[in-house]
Parts: sequence; structure tokens; C-alpha cells
Amino acid sequence: MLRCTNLSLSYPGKTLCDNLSLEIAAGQSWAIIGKNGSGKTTLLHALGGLNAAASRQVFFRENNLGAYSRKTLAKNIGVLLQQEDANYWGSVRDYVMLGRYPHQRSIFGWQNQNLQLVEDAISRVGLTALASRAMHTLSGGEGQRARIALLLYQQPQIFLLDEPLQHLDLQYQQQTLKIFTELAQVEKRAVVMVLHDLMWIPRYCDHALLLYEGGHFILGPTAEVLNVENLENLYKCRLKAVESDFGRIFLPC
Amino acid sequence: MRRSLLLGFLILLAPAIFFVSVLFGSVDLSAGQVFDALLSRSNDITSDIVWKLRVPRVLAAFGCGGLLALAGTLLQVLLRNPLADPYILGVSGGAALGALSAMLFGLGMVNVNLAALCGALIAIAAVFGLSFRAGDWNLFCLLLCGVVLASGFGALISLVLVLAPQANLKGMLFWLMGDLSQADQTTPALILLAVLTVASLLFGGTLNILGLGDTKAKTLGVAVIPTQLAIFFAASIATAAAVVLGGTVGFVGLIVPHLLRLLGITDHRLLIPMAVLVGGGFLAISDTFARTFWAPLQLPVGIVTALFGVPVMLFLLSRKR
Repeated sequence: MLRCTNLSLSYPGKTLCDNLSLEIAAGQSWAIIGKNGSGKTTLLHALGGLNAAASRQVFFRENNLGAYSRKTLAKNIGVLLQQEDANYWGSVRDYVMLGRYPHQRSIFGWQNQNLQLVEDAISRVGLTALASRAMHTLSGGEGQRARIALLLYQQPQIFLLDEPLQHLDLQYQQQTLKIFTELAQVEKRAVVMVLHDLMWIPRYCDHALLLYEGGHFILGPTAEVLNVENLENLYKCRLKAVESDFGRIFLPC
Repeated sequence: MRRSLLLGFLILLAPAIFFVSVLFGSVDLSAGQVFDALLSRSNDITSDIVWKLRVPRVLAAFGCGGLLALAGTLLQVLLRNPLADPYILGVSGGAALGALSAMLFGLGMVNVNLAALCGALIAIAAVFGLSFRAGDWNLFCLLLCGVVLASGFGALISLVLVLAPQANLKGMLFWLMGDLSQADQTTPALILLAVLTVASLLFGGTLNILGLGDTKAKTLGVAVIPTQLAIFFAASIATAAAVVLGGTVGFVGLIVPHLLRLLGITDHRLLIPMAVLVGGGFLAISDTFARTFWAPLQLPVGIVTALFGVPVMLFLLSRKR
């Protein structure tokens, strides 16, 4: 569905990833993990077509991302940004309805809104009671859930999520992961998430990409690549793997 | 639905404001006389007062106010700065410098307007040239270039005022504070207002998205740079036209978009037509007040817009808190 071949990303004086070739298929959910500043967000932006220079090396279906219009990309690839301007004056419902923008064919677009889908998206993130509240009055976690609701209403084929669990409490962390895993497994969408919490990855991601310093990386099925050795090299700290009923958990020593 | 009803109410209110503004003036006319004169154009004195003096003046006020409110709305989205007003990018400074320089040399009103237009266009070209590089621009750079240019124009305007003979000073100060008594070219301004309003409406949905930030707008399918360029030029041309028409009328472009947002109008597909109607209506009422309150003395309309607007805005802000 989405692939990149020999993708290299760098900042002046720092290589973030070197010759990365990756194929994300429908139905898969990937985790991208790495230390702070290792290039996770830069890679996610490149996969989402937000980095013009890298767009030629990232392919959606047959063509590179540069060959598609912004609207076509937005219909197919949804991106949850790590940071978003909080300068929105409208309500939660108005905000979520903006997710329909890439699908609107008419100038005004009111008739293209599917209000039931809006309410469904709001309900899935547990914001029904706050749907009429102004966006800027929400707490950090509520705001994050509204951003996720917008993305659900956008209905892309591929979800690129930069730290989707930030600001969320334990209940909503799990609920969010369940929503996206279900989208991958049932509706055959592709999901790529930048995650920091290793606890969730074995349970909710079937593939993982570990970004190391110097542009090196390891990728593959989670069960194969998420082990103590790889993670200790990644985070430069001692770890212990604990088996639980829900899979392997990694704890710092 | 309630918001759409408010738009309908404003559309119905506009002719009422037009009628009230035409009704009042230094010569007392009854509502019946004005109504008759508006419906049948004849050669009597009442018809002349209505058609040759008051109607053009009210239309000029409406056009000027609508253009300023539209420019303010667009610039607040472009710069994502609630303090943005039509004058923030130095367009009005360029226009004022051109107009005052023409007045200094004793040129007629047509040449003053032409000089104001040239000054505004030079300012637009300068701020664009300084901030747009290789197909990309930085909005902070745009804002800073505009503010710095506006300061430079402000200094030069002060210099012109210092050098101006006493006899010219009052006219210059009136122009600077906003003065619709010399307004001509109303028809082109109204056509421009209509064209820019419709064009901005077509981008209404896109403006909603742009408020979320450039990167988010890209992820939702907006071609960000072309849209920002369109907004910049539309707002700059609207400002230039408003300033040429009525001088630097303050407050309308800043307060009208905020007023509507405080009332819960955040969707630009509604905000834009409402801002044009409220801005135009507000300036028409303010100008009616400015020319009748102290008649036969006419006040600069910019003073009235501030005196009306400040308490309303402060009241709404205090209620919102």
C-alpha cells in the first residue's frame, strides 16, 4: 500500500535514516520507535508526503507521492501530527467536520457532510458529551481525542500517527490502540504509529521499525525485532523482558 | 441553523441601514420624501440631495467598511494572529504616504487618490518581494517585514506632516483619520468588494483548514502556499481600495471579525459574508453619525468607529470571560 525504497533522511551534520526500504501492506499496524531526535517524526512526515524532497522515494500504490495532488493524498493518507496549532475558534463537532475537506467536491461542502459519521467518530473517542464545547477549552487529552476523531472522519486508507497516545490516560490509550488495530485488522487499513511506550507494542502492532543513531535501523515482525538486545542497543540502558498473559513486557533495570 | 438565520437577518438589515443612513443629513428630509426620491429619480432638490450626495456617500461607506472587514478577516487567518488588521502589512502606510505627498504638492483629489493607490501597490510589492523567496515564504518574516515597512512609512508620514503648510494640515489629518467626504470611485470599489467576497467565499472551507496551521492543512489536502498567496493579494488589494476610498479608517478591520467570532461565527463560509455586511453597515452608520452629530461640522469617521467599537468589543469580551 505504502512503500519507500532507499529512502535517506538527514539534517545538516546528522543522518536520520540511511537507505531505508519499507513496505507497509493493508491490514498491518507498524510501530516506529527510537530515541528522542532519532528522526521518527521526520520519517513519518516523509511517508505522509509532507517532505517534498523525499516524496519521490515514497510510493503509494504505483506512483510516488509527488505525482499525487494534495487532495488525493489526503483522501488516502491521514496524518496525526505531534503538535498542532491550538488556534481553533470553533466547537469540537465543527473541528471534526474539517476531516471531510479532502472528500468535498462542491465549493461549500455542507451537503457532503455525513453527520452520522461525525457523531460516530466523536463517540468512538468518547467526546459525545463535549461535542458542542469550544476546542480551545478542552484539556490536553480531550484535545488529542478530538484530533483522533477528525482523523477517523477523514477515513484515509493509511493512518500515520505521531505519538497518538500523548496526553491520554490509560483507558484512552488502550481505547485508541484498539480503534486503530481494528481499522487495520477488520477494515484492512494500514496504521503506522510513533510510540514510546513499549508496553503496548507487542499487543497492538504486528510490525516494528527501530531507528538507531547514525541512520541505522532494524525492521520486521514485532515478535522478531522487539527483543532485549535490540532495545538495549536502541535506548542505551539495561532492560529485562517479562512474559505476561498479554505478551512480553520490557522493564528498565 | 441559528448562524444561517443570523446571516439572513444581516442581509435584511443592510437595506434598512442604507435607508436610515440616507434619511439623516444636514438637511431634514422625511422618510416619505427619501422613499419617494429613492423610487423615482426626478430633478427636484430632494432627489439631488438623495441621489447625488447621500446615496454615493453611504455606498462609499459600505464599500470601504466591507473591504476593511474582509481584509481583516483574511489577514487574521493568513497570519494566524488575532491582532492582525488590514493595516498591519504597511499597505495603508504606503497609501497614506502617497496621498499626503500629493496633498503636500497641492495636487487635486483625483491625483491624491492615484498617489494613494500607487503608494499602496508599492507597499504590497515591497512586502511581498522581501518575504517571498524561491517559491516559499515565512509568515513571521511577512509579518515583520510589514510591521517594519509600516513603521518606516509612519516616520515618512510624520515628516510630510511637519513639512506641510498650515493650510493643508487639516485635510491631511482628516485623510489619516478616515474621511469619506471626498470619496469617489465608489462603483469600482463596490465591484471589487463583490468580486473579492465571492472569491473568498469559494475559499471559505479552505480558510477553515488553514487556521489549523500549515502542516495540518497540507495533511487535509490544502495547497498551502498558493492559498496563502491568494489571501495575501486579496487582503492587500481590498485594503488598498478601502484606503483610497476613505483614508485610513481605523478599527473596522480589527473589530468586526472578532465581534463575529465572539458571537460564535467561526466557519469562514458564514464569517466572510457576515463580516462584509457588518463592516459595511457599521461604517455606514458611523459615517452617518460623523456627518450629522456635529453638523455642519463633519467628524473624521475613524473617530466614530473607535468610539462605537471600543465599548461594544469590551462588553462582549467581558461577557465571554
